[in-house]
Amino acid sequence: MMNPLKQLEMLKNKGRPVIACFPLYPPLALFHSMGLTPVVIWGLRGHVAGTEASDRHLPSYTCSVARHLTEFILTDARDLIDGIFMYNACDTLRNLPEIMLDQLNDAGRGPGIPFFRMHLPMTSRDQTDASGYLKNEIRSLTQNLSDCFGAGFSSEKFQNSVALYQRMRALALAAQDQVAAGRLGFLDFVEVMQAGAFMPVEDHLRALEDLTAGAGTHNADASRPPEDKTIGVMISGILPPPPSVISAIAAAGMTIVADDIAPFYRSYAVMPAPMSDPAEYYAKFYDDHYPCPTLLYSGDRRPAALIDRIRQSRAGAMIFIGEKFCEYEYFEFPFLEKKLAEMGIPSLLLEIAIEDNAHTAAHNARIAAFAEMIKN
Amino acid sequence: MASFQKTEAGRSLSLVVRDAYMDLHTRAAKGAFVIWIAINVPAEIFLGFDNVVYGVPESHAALNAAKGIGALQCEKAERIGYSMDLCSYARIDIGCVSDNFADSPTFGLPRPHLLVSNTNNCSLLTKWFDVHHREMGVPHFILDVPFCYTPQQQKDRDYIVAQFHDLIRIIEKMSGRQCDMEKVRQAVSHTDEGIGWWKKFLGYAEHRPSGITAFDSFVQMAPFLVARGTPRFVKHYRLLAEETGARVAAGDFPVPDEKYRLFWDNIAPWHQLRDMSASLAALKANIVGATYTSCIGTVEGSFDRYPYDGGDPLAMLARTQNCYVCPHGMALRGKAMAEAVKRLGIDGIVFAGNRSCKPYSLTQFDQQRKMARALGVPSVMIEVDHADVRKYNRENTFTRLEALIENIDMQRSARMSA
Repeated sequence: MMNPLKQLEMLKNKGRPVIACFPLYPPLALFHSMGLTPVVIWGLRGHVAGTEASDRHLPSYTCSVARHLTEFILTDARDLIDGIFMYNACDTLRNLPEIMLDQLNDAGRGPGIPFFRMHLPMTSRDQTDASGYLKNEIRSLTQNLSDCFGAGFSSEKFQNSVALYQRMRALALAAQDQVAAGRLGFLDFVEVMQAGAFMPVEDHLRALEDLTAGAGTHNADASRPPEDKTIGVMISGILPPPPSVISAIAAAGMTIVADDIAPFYRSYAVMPAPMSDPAEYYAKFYDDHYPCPTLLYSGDRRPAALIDRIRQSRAGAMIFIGEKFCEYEYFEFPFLEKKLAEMGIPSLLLEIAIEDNAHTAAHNARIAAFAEMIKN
Repeated sequence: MASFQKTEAGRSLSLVVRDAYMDLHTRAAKGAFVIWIAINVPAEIFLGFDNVVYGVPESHAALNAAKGIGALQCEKAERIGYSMDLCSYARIDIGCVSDNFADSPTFGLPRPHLLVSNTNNCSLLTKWFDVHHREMGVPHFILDVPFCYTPQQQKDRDYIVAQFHDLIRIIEKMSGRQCDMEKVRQAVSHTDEGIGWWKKFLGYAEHRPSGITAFDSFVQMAPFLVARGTPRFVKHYRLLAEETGARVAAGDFPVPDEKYRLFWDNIAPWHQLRDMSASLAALKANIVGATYTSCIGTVEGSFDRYPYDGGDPLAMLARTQNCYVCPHGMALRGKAMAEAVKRLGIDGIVFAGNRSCKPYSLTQFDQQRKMARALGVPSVMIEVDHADVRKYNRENTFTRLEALIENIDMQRSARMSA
């Protein structure tokens, strides 16, 4: 069972500096190659006790990702992290660093927790060549990490780290295939993937190896493999749905055959081959990244990528997992729903708010009704 | 009590806006190349072209809200699937486009050939313009402006300038017309000169009682959106400043019995301008300044005018891309606000939390505490959506505003006792 706090404590005890990364797609292999353990602070729904500290700073109309992230860093994690990294993933996240630093400094940590930032160019790649700018950002980040943690950069180590992450991503894809084939429960997959965000990549690899090796034995009721005549469904969202929703999908006779979830498929679908120069590598990494509503420059590729994924997975329906107040996603839903309808693919939009771990009845009813509608 | 007699500048404002929309429609009908831009895309660049015109969906949305039809337009977008949590400007605009601007007070905007969004105020402008890009099949240029926590860096400025050049190249290619950089330079000069008058106008808030209300300044922003870079822009703001100066000299003040001088932090509450202005005036309170209007023509961290030196106009435009409140961090915002609060002799600050603008609102709780600590100025947090009246509660708002006034009174009493 995932326990981010315990996992962080274990990481801290191992002696490698822990760098807490804001979502969504930080340059993990670079951090790893420089002797740091990167963790990505998301998927905390159900793992932070309320949002009391966060609520002193953020209005209630902020998404759960930002509120949980703030809560976690200002309370549980504050003594367990050695650095924080963020890039311009969204308008909300870009406003958090100063709030956090003020609090961390006020609490007597002094300038102790260094904050690393990077601007990821969002301009369309066919209108402006921003590769030079991005490479410069990566080089500055590398230098700043080196200055702060005293770890020199090594091309060899970097390529090794990239290879490790590639292996992890390949295993995640394999696990996804097993989920689609019904040999693995989606809940089990979600648990290992979310826990992986708080593990060293080596441990995440082992967890994925165990998961895929044990496929067929992980079938809890809530994530039962598909029986005949179940409906294959793809889910899409910035976060995976809560376990109750996953269970409701299974209970309604639907099998999740593909995902378009930011920390899952969107994160590991595409990865360039190892290169010795991180600036070159990350220019390609971000340019070729699987489209995401938060990567503004990927907007033109996004509908086609989503439709391709549905076709390849042979999903017969789509469930959008709307993270309340994530406007990046919400601006896209109507267009995507329309496109899917043109293809004859029914879709359902579920809105998940911060307290929706408990408020499940409405979701369950809508999922059941959606399944009934498809069957009839 | 505030008076609502139309001034010469008020009449001029109506004409500037009317003529801008008329000109936009007329020229578009005659074949001009039409661009829809996000509010802070530097329109001066388009004045370098002979037959290129631009419309500003945000400005059009604000106009809808001010005319009282913001909610009507929002509902149209909601009916086709757009969440009520999305920015109300975006919902108004998407709603307007959904029925071809049926209820627009300006006959809408002519269909664009190009969309230009930017990421400086908010990245969601790009998502919003992507809606049109996908639905209309119109190309979309994304102008990416790095957020800054410290004064804008040269590397970021160079990146922005490079994008300006790409934008010009694309317009030249699409429109078949060449950009005359001398005309751009002239446009930047006109904007600079007009902003000089704008700053003079805002400066009359320093007078006691204030020569202006922030509500006047909200309304008078319109030329900045539809006419900047033109001689008429200069003429209008000169008239505004001179007329306001004359009124101050003559002892004609919007809130003559002004007792409480307030400062506003967020976008204007377009649907409440008249009511809020009049109701505050009845309480002898005047919102004399606002971050929203003060940041125009500045650079991040200061509300002082950033003058144009006549050099590379694109460099100047790039340098001022972070000036609007949202594209820079809390420390810079706080610095500018604190200076304004001191300069204007502010008694209380109104932080207007705005569900439709998270980038403006997210740091307000912390900013409120910082201002209290640094300046000892009381403040209040209210909630006002800038264009969707359905997300506004007058009773709650005025209960809080009245509490702020009581707080100011208590502070004054305590000071007197001491």
